[in-house]
Amino acid sequence: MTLELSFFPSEQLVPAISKLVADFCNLVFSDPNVTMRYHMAAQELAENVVKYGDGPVVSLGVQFRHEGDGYLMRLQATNTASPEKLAEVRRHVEALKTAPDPEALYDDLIQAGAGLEGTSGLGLARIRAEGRLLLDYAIDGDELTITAEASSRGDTP
Amino acid sequence: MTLAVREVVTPTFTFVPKLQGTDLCCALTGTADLVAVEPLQDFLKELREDVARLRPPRVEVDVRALLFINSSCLKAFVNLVFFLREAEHTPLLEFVTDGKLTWQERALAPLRRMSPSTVSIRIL
Repeated sequence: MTLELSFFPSEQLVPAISKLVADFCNLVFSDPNVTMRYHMAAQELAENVVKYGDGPVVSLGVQFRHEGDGYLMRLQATNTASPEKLAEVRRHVEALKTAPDPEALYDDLIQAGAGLEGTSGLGLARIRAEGRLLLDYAIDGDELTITAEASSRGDTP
Repeated sequence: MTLAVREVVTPTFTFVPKLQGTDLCCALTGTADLVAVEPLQDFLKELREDVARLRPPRVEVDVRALLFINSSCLKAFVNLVFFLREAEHTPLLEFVTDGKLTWQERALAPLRRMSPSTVSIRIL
């Protein structure tokens, strides 16, 4: 099952986009706490593409498929961004991908930003640490795609 | 004793403070997403001012009816923990979560790891 959403990057659309993903997850998972992992990830990714995307259209995709006796759930967010932003995201996602302890890195990022105003910068780290989803990225020209996925064997929906 | 912090009521979220004995309590309900970030930051700033003025031994934040919290709203709580920890008077900050909604405890656990001596999570 696949859900693909392309939309104008407006903050007002994020709750509706996020709800669509949550509804999609409710179709395949019976445990609301499992659904919440993906709902949270979808919300954070949708907020990111809206906040950081500099083009007229951004997209968010959700893919669910059975794999053996488990499943694969993948979220994919795409937007265009400046070279500086792309370089920043590359560094950030590489750090999250290679961190031996994602929770410790999340805690470090929280401590580093504590007391400071402005954007949290915690969304992707939260997806990795709290949501326990694997992160990856692809850059094609000025287009950035971030994927967050989890596969499970035996942890059936 | 009266509270200066004002309740926030919108169609999608509410933040309601109250004094309970010597404790300062507040309940969050609904969806704490992008729309809620600024109201939550303002609410928690006012709450800190009441903490400094009234010096309660304990501040309770009941999130059992919270349906979702995004990272920007979590960051507002990170700042609350940070400023209370650094303040002249530091109360115990206790979050109350719903044991059936395990994501609530998982989302707030970093705040407890950030300051284990001043932050606790009570699961009901």
